[in-house]
Amino acid sequence: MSERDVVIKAVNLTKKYGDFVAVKNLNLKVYEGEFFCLLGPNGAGKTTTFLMLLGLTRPTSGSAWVCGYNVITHPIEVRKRVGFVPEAPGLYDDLTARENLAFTANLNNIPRGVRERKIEELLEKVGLLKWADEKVGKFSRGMKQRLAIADALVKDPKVLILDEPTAGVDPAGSEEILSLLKTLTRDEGITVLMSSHLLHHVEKYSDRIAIMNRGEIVRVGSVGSLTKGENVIELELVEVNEDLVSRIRELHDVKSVERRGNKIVIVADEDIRKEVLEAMSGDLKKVLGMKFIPSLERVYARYVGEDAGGS
Amino acid sequence: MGVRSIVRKEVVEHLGSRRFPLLFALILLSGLATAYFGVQSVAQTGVKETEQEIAFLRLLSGATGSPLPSFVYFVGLFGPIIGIALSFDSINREIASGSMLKMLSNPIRRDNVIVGKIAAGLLVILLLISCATSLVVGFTMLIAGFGPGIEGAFRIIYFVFASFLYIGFWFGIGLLFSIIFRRTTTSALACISLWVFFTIFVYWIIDIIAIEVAGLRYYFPSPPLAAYVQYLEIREALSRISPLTLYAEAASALLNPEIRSLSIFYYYAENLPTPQPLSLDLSIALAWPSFSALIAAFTVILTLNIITFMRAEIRPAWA
Repeated sequence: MSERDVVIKAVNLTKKYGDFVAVKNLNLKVYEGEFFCLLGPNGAGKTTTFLMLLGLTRPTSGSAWVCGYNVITHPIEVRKRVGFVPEAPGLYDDLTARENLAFTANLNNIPRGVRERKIEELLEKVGLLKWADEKVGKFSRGMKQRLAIADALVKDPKVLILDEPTAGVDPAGSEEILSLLKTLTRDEGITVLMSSHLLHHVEKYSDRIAIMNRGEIVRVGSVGSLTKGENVIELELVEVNEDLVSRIRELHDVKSVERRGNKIVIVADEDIRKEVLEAMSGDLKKVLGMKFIPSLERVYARYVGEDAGGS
Repeated sequence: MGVRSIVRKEVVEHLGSRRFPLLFALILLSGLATAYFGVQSVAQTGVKETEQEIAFLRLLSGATGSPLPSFVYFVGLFGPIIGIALSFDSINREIASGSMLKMLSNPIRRDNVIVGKIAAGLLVILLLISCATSLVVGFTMLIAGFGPGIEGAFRIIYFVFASFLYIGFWFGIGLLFSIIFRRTTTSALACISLWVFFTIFVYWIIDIIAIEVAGLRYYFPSPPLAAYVQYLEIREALSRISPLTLYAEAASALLNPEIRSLSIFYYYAENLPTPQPLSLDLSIALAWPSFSALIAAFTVILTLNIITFMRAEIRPAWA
């Protein structure tokens, strides 16, 4: 992608609170229409990074630009173009869904005529039109998160920043939220920058991922590039014969094959479960089980190490 | 546009909250009870037609011999609770819920938020105290059968303004603590502690200081008049550190034209006729030092709020 398509750029961004370094020399580029995810344990510096990108907290050193505007010198211009969904949805429980969105529309100087139509459209988009006049206090966590996304979309943002949007939401609700975000990037070209700790979701929806730990980005790249050579398949058999091991070893993308009792552990560049089953052909009856260890989990555990438990 | 939107949202929240009717009932019921017992007390002695205006104002200021304290006393006592209740969790609750960050992530300046919150809170206080006072005045007129004249009405308006400044000061204290403390319970406790201090403890401390400075202890049990006067003067001067004293002085001077001095000493020559009640402008002049001190305290606390909020690091509780 060209330099022109970069919508978020951070150069040596650092934030210190006294002696504590929350974010250290962060360099980041997020491109237009990209679904970018920040992964990291609690205290990794994800929220602080978001606050700096929104111009809500001043970096100790370094700079950042969002939609071409410097976050330190032009925070208002940045906030005109960026929608933010904090981890706690930040909605007013005593107001209705419609009133919550109207408040945000007022803060963004959206004219009354446009406002009403836009609110209807957004509530429809997030599937909450039926509950438009219900007080938000009655909503489930998933509904609140969807409303928070609608709230962030009121200003027609070019970028959406979401801090753990699926935290506390059930699996079905999380899928709904993430597929809604994916639709926004695909159909409307909105750039999504979010933090999450649900690795399988991140792996499924993100275009690129950055792993953060102790204020630093330790790894960044596409899901494919990060997980290359990290796909592990564990095959449990009634008995293991050498012929089968040889056949699997000859498969394309296989990096290593190891026998462990009645198990075969395969490490491959890609997910080759289908190819493995095909290679077994007549031996399928001997299979007791097949386990695929998500590759991102392995990468994450390697870079975050003992801090991973907190994520 | 930002400030207006925030003011509107805040006013809707205040008026729609459960706290508002409770606070309103607190001040209104105490006012109505005061008026009722005040009128009973006045009815026993009777009121000349020429003294009706002063008698009416006495009903509010408490110079009637009623068994209940005055309306001024109740506003002085409950006013801080009203102010604190409207603001002690105003900022920290919004930070904890994420709504502060969400609001600030819109294209508004940070000062819009604090100015909007202050304006909305003061608007609600003005509404509350003016409605409660109007209802109390109306009820008093109904049961007493007479009311204030034009000058009396202006005295009541000035009293409402003094009450507004006094409650507004405590609103500012609550708001300041809600910026400083992250937990709403901590800010509530800090506010209540300060209220108890300025309502009770400060007078004990002042008394001790006055006794020590005037040397009253050395003359016990019968101090000379000069030492006793010095003790009273010191106590009077220092007690003005409490907003309650300032408010009580201003409200009493404004509502009671018979008060000719706020000092504990009031001299007049023995052979002169009985002093006449003061005119409104003279009462305002009398109340002015306390009134201006209230304005100063009110302005200082609200300015402190703006400065503290602008410098505060707004971070979510989970980060």
